[in-house]
Amino acid sequence: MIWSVIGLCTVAGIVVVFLKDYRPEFALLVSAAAGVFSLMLLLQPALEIIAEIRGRMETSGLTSVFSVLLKTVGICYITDFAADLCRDFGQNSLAAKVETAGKLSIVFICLPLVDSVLKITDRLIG
Amino acid sequence: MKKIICVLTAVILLSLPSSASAESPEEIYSKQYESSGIGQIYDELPDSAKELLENIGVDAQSGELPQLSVSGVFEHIFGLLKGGMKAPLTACISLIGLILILSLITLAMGEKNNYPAVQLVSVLCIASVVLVPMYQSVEVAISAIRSATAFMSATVPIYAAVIISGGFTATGTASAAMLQAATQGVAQLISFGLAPLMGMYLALSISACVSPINSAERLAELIKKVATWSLSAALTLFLGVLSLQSSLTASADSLSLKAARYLVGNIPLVGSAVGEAVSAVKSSVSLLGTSAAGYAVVALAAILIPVILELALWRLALNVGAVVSGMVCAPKVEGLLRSCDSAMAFFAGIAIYVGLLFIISFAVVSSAVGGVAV
Repeated sequence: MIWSVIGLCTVAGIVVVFLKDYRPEFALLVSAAAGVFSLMLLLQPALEIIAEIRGRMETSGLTSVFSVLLKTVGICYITDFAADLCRDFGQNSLAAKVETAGKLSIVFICLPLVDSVLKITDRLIG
Repeated sequence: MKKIICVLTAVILLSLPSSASAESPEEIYSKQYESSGIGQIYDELPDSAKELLENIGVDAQSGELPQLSVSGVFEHIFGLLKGGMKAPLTACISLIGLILILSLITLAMGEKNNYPAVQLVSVLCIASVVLVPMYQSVEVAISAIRSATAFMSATVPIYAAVIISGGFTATGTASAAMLQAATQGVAQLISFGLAPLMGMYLALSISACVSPINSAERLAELIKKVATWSLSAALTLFLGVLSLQSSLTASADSLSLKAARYLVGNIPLVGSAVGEAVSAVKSSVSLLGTSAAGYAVVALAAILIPVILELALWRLALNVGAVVSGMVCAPKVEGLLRSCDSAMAFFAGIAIYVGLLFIISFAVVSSAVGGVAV
């Protein structure tokens, strides 16, 4: 898997360097396509690792917490990827909006955790 | 005629068989035990404490401590440790697992744009894993402390009645008033002062861990200091006043008892016998008072020790978690766990404080009463 990603990114980088001077619009598309493919290559082993950790978390009763954590990390990676892509296209404003959307999504996902912590502190104070 | 009737009556009465014997100290003790109401102390105990007392060999109904051995007590303490270990141990293992996964994730994330968000979620995850079982233990601790104060408010009047019946009127009245005030004061202080204050401390500590505002942490520390100082000051002041008052009232009671013994000792023919009887009654009442105090202390320990042990185990689990967080460079998580540990230490401190307050009070009053020679 790691060799596939390294190979793909190296070839894509060389192609982008060649295309940059002649057809810059294609260079950007090649760069974006290489990014998407490398992510897809990483998805399979990542899913195996997640399934392994999820199995262990289920035995210790931490599935809900792990699920929140996993979603947060996923959102972080996807928003970072999308924001970087936007920056590559020269769209800094869009990149910032994607990051804001990612942060809002994380807050939304964390709400049950915040709620449970607040309930306990409320009971402690009350 | 009248003279003959009188002589005949006297002869008949004198010829009737009659016997008189003084009551033995054991009989006096058992009669006083029954009439004092010490047996009622047992009914005021929570079920868990009754079970524990029976397990360690205390005859709960009679209030005697004949089979209380050091090895037996330690054996049951180990039993309690085993019983109370489950929740903290589970939390500790979950914590370590979660901290390791979080460290792996933060390592994989690197210093990306959303890194603070992941840190926030990490702290929230740890908080939700730790706080729920920890809060249950805190609730049990507060309930045990309330049970201890309720038990004491039922025991103090009985103990005071025993002391007063032994002739220590001033000591009994004054100590009962002070102990009742302390019982009510402690109950109110815990319900409306310390428990909410510690909740505030914990809430502020959590907010300090998940936010970059430093003042929340400082405010939390201030709350903790205020609570600790107020507890220490109240304990010192109360015990100081009780010791002074007990020594003064015991001297006054000693004078009264000596005067009473002198008066009955001067009654012709039976004076010395009555004086000895007064001494016997006083000794048996002192023994009864010491037994009641000893039983109350053991019962109090039976209520509070399981809670203190569980809180200590929680502290151990939280410290292990904090050390692991420190090792994998997760300062926010470490801060949260240290704050939780401080809160647990404080709740354990309250339980120890309540136990010490009543145990030392009983010791002070018992020694003041026992030190009086008649």
